[in-house]
Amino acid sequence: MAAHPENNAYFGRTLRRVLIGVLCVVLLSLFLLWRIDNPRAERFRMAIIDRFVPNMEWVLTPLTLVSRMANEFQSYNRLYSQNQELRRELQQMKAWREAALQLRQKNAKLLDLNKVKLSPKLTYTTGVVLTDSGSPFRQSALINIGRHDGIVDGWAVMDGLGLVGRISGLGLNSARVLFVTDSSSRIPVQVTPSGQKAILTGDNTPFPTLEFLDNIDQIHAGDRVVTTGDGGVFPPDLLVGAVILGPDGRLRVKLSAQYRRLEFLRVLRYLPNPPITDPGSLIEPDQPAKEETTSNG
Amino acid sequence: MDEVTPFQFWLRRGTYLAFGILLLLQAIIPQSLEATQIPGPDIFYCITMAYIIRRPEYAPLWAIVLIFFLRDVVTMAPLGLATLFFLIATEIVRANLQAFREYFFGIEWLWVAVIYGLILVTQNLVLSLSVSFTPKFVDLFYQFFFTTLAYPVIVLIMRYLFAIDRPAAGKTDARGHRI
Repeated sequence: MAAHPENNAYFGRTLRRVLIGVLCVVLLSLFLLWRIDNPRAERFRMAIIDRFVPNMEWVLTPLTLVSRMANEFQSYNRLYSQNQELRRELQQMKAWREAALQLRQKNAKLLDLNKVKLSPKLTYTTGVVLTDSGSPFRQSALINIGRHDGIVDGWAVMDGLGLVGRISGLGLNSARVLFVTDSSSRIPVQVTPSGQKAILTGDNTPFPTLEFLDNIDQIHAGDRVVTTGDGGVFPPDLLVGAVILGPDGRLRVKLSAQYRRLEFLRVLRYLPNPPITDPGSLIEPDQPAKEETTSNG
Repeated sequence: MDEVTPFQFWLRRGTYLAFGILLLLQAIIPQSLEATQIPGPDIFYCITMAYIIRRPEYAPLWAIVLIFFLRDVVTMAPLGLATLFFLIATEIVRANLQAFREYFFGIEWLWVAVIYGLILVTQNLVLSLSVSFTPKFVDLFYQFFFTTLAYPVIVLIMRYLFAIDRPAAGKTDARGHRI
């Protein structure tokens, strides 16, 4: 080996070139695989993330804590004015609480009269946000529950109040939540007072747009936007937000979910009824073969 | 100065890897999940280029591929595409190392910016040819602009904090090869 240093160096260079070529081919074919068979490639990605990220929690948690503390330190300056504001809001809330209590009693009476059974189907599992998407071009987060906890791809994810997104990508112990603000997110929604249906289209801004509206004249800023059950992926009537008119003249939605402080997310367990595709066979089993033989005979 | 023990050698390689992993973790910390962020500089690209022009032996091929690929995986980017372009770019610089060493800093800075711009443009071209999601032009421009601004800062930090600088002319390594 030491006798032919020149040969050795030449061999090393050639080997290196081959290695680079092989790497390029591997990476290129990986990209092609990602493009052609996207679900499989995304499963592969999720498997890698699932293998490493939940194990990195011991690093991520303190780092997250420190960065949150740094962020919150800035808000100490505004502490006094914030306190005042909160007191004012509390006053208003007391009035609302009173109204809510009265309404609850009234509602209970009415339900009792009506003998309504509330659907027990919508239960939820809560997960903690592990990481965000790490890139300004994608709006998603990784949460620490996955297939192990019975999560299914496509389930709706909410914070306490409004819709946040849906599960898109499952690992054993982690799941990727695609936010409604991501530019690949499309969700069927309904604008409530007028009952108009639309598609909520994310575009990487905090306010996703409403598209495919029938009649724009019937829609006003401030109207509530909820999900429809269309497509059978989301349960109906989850609060999404309120309509606003964007500066570009398009109708957008101000989301009810507080994206700034997302820490815990609720994944709604939703198993829609199986669709009935064959209505006749239930009531009257048709037996054409038998009939034919009887008519012939 | 250039007489490094194997321990020091691996320590410096480890520093490069640690930079990569720390930046990756920093990117995925859930600080604010709002969709308003302006893309920041690609700091790891700057670090990689600075390493390759100054001390290529501490930024080996496998480490570059590993970190950039992990970044593709974690940030939901198209798998392997960015890695491929960064790999090609770093290898081109590595092959023309002597030329890069002889430039004074302004030209080096210009080249680093041009290469980054080319990477972004080619990547976007491939993405739009394959009809996949392409980021907005404005965002890409921000990323390019901030990365270009960040490069001299990172070179300075690396020189004075981590003592990573080009070797003096004519220096040789332990085995007598030119560095």
